[in-house]
Amino acid sequence: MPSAHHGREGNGRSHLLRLLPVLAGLVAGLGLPLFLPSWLQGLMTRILVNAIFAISLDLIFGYTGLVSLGHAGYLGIGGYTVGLLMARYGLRSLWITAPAGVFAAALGAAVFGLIALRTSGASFMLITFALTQLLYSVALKWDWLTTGGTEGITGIARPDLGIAGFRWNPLLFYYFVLLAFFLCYLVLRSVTRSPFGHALQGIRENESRMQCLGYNTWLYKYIAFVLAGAFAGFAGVLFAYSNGIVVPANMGIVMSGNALFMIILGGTGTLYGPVVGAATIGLLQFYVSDLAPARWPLVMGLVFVLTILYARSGIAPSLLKIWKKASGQHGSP
Amino acid sequence: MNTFLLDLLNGISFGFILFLLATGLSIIMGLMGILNMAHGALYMLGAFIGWTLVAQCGLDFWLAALGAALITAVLGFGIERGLFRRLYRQYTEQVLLAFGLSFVLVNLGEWIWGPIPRAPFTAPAFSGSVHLGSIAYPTVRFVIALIGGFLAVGLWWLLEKTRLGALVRAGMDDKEMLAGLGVDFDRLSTAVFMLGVGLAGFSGVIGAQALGASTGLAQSIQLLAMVVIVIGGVGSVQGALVGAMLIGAIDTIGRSRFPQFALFTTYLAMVVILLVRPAGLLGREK
Amino acid sequence: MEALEVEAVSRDFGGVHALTNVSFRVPVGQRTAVIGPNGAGKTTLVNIISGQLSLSGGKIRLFGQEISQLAAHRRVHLGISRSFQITSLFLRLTVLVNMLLALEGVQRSQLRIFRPLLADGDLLRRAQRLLGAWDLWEKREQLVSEISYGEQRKLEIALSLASNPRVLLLDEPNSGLTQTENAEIVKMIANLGGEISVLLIAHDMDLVFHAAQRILVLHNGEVIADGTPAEVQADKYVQEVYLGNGSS
Repeated sequence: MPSAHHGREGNGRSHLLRLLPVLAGLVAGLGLPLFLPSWLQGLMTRILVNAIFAISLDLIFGYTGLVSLGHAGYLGIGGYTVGLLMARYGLRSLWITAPAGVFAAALGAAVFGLIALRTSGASFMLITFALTQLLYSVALKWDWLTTGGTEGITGIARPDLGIAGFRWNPLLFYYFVLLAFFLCYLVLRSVTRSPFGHALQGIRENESRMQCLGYNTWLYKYIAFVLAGAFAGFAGVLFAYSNGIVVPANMGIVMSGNALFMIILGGTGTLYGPVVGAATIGLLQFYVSDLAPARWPLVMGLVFVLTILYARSGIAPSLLKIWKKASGQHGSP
Repeated sequence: MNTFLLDLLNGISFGFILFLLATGLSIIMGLMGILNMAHGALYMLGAFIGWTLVAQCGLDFWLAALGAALITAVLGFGIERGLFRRLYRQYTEQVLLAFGLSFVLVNLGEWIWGPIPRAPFTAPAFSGSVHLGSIAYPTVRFVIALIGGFLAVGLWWLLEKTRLGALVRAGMDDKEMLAGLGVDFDRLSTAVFMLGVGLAGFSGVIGAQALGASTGLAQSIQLLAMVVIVIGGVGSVQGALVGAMLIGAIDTIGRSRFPQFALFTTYLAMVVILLVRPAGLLGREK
Repeated sequence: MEALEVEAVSRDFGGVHALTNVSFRVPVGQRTAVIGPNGAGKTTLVNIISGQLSLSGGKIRLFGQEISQLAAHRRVHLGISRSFQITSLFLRLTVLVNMLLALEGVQRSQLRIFRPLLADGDLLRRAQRLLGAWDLWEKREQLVSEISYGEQRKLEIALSLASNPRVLLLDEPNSGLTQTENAEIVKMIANLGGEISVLLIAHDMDLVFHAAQRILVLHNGEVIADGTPAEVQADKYVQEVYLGNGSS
């Protein structure tokens, strides 16, 4: 079989070097929380949930080139579904609430994608922006949905695993979310490496050429859109379990903006970039909240503007390049 | 029937506020290709600056409005030259940058003026009401409509009947043509951007007569302004007017009659128009 | 049955008639060149045949099947392929991925989600063959934005061959190429199997007279001549409009 990579029949050592940052991350992710107080474990949990949200957006933004300003809508649908089932209907099982949340979000994306994907460019941005605001106002005002208005839905607990005698604690919940994150990451990584994933990039680069090569580009965009919505919904489900509360703002433009900032800061179209972005912003927000919580949007906006101007491809790819140079490797990423 | 009339009148005056905001957004988009996501934030800043000039500096209302317009225009200069200019022709990045900028500006507004909204304010002469049959209708709403109407005519005239307007229209259709005419596109862009942004600041003060000044306005009015240009078409003053009247009416009546459906009607209108006529009702077909 | 039938095709843009009543048939295996002054409608014609532009009137048939309303991507599956006058590649992807995408385009199993693209042995073999024929295999890991213009043009054409087309539309394939590269194109067209019909837009008369058995001359959106190179050269009207006075 011809080699896809030029002269990179790597030896064991360069393989290990390349994987070192990943291994370090794994060790930190698995081991670090054991030594941290519960509120820091909570922070790491929240970062992981945001990372799932971020990689779901990267699929449509970074890989497919769809600038969606309303991705938080699907996170919100997932979260509110869990909230409604748990707090209003007393359904506490993980095996009911989680799939329900994901399904609801995917359904929302399926319906909405049909409308949004008839537009492109600025209209697409606008229509997705409008959706997130619409969902926000629905959550705020539709009393018959018992969404709790500005208060949102409170009293959401960690899900019931159906295991007798099992009790959650912050550390266990962290590992649960970590596992969920790994699964999501591995699935999306597989998707992006597949013919489908490459086709999405082709669409991003040159949609009309893709059509002239035989691709039904609308279908690809639609599938990616629904898939991204489903994963965002899953992030919303975990978000609800983690915070115990969902509020209308979780569906709104600030949350959507957050995701966008995370992936651009980290590096779009890479999957690992958004994870780095989520971690960076999570830590930054944590730090700023200590000093001046009301100024967080200002800081975030500034960081974002600077990133767009001076580091458009994000920090993760740059870090990767530095690492490659430092460990004496060659070859394309 | 009285409430409907009231809503309609409110819708019209709100429509004029939207018109002032959307026109700038539309021309900027038409000429420079930039969807200025920070336009609503600039409206908000205009309103706040106007408030400060009136309430704290004791300035005459109209001077304050002009002052706010000037200050935001200068701010616009800084934004265009310092930020957008660096992302020449990278339209997506420019929109994203404006998006991030809106967060910065809104939070800055909250920092300087605090989270508490300012009540509507106006010149003392207009703080009363006019009697329409049995209702006392606020004078400011008429003032807004008058200003809006006056500016609508003025802006239309500027775009259609002056040399500058002709250059802008030419630039919207074909940038290369301008270079052939020996016009510096960059300077024209900056001028147009400043004008559009100044208009946003101005409309912030004019609108503050009815809406007051608050940080919450920024995003909601940004969205409405964008809906207006989608419906009315990019690059057209008439389109912005028609779109703004439509949205102003739908939004106001919607909020009044069906408070639970607030954004729904507006959103539905936008979706329908986008799907049926992607260029908007009166947009410039390229 | 003809490979391609274009029947009374017209296309209007607002008030402008880009194409008016264009009709011709391409038998299987024939090499036809389409020439004409700038603005004659050549690229519009190709865009309509490939499906990127809809027609205002008339019909198009591919091997007897009417495709006038068919979406562009569906026509590819029926055997049409095209290259672009202005290089239209995936700039930030590697040469290899560009080719793999082109090869995948006509596969039944396009929507595969769970096997990595770069691990498909069969696809890689075919990519190697196609890229190798154009001396591009060595550059496979480079981003398209990093290779030379001539190499991009070659890749442009190589991609259009990936789907094993029965009707190939080449829009100015040799624009911006050197003499040697030009000769390669001529050779390639000559070496295409006898089953493939080619419609070739070109300005270079050398290429036209070497590669084509038949020439269509377009002017102001209409066909003003249709015949062998000799016939067309001798046509008075064509000389007046296009070939005459040393304007080639």
